Amino acid sequence: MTDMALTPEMDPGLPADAGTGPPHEVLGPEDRRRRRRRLAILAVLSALAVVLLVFSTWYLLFRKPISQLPLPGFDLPPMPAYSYSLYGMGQPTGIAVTPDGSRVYVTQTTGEDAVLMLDGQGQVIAALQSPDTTTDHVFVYVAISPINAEVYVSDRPAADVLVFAPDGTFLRTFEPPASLVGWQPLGLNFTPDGHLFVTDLGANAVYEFDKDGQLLRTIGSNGMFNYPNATAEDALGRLYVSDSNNGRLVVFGRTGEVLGVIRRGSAIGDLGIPRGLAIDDRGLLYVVDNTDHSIKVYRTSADPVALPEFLGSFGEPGIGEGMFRFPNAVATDTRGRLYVADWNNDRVQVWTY
Amino acid sequence: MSNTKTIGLARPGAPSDRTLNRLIGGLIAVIAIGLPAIGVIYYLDRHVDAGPSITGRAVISAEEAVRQNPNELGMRVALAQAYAADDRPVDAIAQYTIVLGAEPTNTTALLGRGDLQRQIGQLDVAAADYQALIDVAKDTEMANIDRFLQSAYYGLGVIAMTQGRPANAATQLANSLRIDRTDADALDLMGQALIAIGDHENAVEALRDAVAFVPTGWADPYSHLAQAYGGLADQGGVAYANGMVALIEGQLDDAQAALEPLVGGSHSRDALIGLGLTAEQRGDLNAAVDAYRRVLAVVPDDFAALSGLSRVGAPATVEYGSNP
Repeated sequence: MTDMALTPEMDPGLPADAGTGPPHEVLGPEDRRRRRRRLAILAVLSALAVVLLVFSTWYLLFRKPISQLPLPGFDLPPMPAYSYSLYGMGQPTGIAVTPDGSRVYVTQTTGEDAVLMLDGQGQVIAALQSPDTTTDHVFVYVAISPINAEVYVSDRPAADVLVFAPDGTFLRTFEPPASLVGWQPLGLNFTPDGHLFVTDLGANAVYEFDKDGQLLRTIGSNGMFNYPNATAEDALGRLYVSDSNNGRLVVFGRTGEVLGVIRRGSAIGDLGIPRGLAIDDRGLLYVVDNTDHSIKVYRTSADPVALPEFLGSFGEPGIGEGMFRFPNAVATDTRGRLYVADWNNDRVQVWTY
Repeated sequence: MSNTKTIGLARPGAPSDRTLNRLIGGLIAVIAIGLPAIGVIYYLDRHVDAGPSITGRAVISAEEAVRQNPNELGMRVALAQAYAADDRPVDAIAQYTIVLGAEPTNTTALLGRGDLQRQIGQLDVAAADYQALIDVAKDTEMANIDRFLQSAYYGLGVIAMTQGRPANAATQLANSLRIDRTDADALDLMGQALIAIGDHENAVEALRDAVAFVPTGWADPYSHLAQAYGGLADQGGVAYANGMVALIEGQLDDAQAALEPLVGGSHSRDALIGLGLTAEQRGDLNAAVDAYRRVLAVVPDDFAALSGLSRVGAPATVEYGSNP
């Protein structure tokens, strides 16, 4: 079938001005149907192209899993799913990951006295070691400075915080003020503006240092804590401290006042021995429960004086995929992944949404 | 074709068919290229080839060890255990069979093969392995603390219950419990066996022991306890056991409703412990402390009440767990 084109002279029913403009296409019923069909196809393809463009733009900007695509009316799943594991380390206790997930730093407490640096595919590409070979070292926790990507590592027997360049070169030892007598650093955590929180087992306290290493404040030096392991600060400035041997998470307000605790117990959302902490870019707080062999997930509140809301937990005891044996630390990247140091399974598990 | 067909004009400025075709073709090309491209980027971004799991790695390592030393029975046992952990019971049984061919009294292989045969439903074959282990181990010096022997008796108990022989199951489980009297699984199964043969009084005792070692998170022994109390026509006991089932299933209102009327009666201590656990589940720590203290007022060294108080209040003073 061919399109039929008529000139105005051929059809007396045409409008008076029909001959003054360019010749118009004259359509029969079949042509009109075909044209409607083309327009419909065009509309569908346009919609698909727009969806593809929006998704591609969103993904290339944020690199998050599809499940985190912000669609109106759809709530994000609060619990992640097991994705894969990274092997090659011995009894990992601490973990830190760059925002894009391209570098993962893992402390190990058996095997070589080293912090392992892995690439995003889980290949060990460097081992960060202390230049001091005369004493024992046990690297427990690790954190990455958001200012210059330097890697801070707590060394338990040496009672030091070692600082490495992003490529693993040893740079220096972090020097606390002389006033901090009996300094035994353990947990390390940076805020986005480069402030460093350190938990100190000597004083059972938490210190906040500015990005130049100056001590800004001390939290909990009055015997409040018993083996504080980790800290995390949320977007509203609340500080969460895993007060491990008291079996609780202590929540401080922006000005240092205690807002409340999430304690040890058997109720839903209660804790056993909390260790590592992390807060992702959606404001979800992850608490490693060492003896429950699980990660508990809470939503931090928009109310600056409210405690986080328990959402659920994931993991169970065992050696299978998605199972933990005494997990100790957790870290998040900005791509929807959670990294869990699965201590007694000698691996890091990666969970994703 | 009709001679009076309607003829219309395209609207001025409307795209021609050729333009529409070009647009459609262009969009198809964009989608055909863009979709796979973003799919590939997404896959490469999200995918990590992490290799085998822990159990898979153990299998690879054990297989290599057996290849290096094919006559070393210990390595074959390790390989069988790796296969079993990797959920490959048939391969594991084959390795155990090789070991038993060379050493028929190898108790690790007898127990391992017996457990796997039971797992895949070969009950008579499993029973033969368990019995062979018992024959080897029952008169040895360490028989009273031999966990392999205990497991073999337990396995025979499970098989007897599965095959509808509760009296024989009770005998086997009694042998198992003589070696480990804290085995909650054996105690629960013993309770079921005793219920089946009508010995409700001893069933209650076994099941109460089972829940003493695993007080929460496992509803089965409480369900069986309700049956046993029912056999004794002890309605308070039935209410207590059903209340605990409700608690474990998260039905806190039902649990409280079942337990509260029992306080002050013959099951008062049990009910108060249950109410303390219920209050803990609700996060009502004051109520939990009150319930546990009421128990301690009567029984000052009640382990469950002391444990409950420890959970809701007393701070630990030593480092637990795995921190170096």
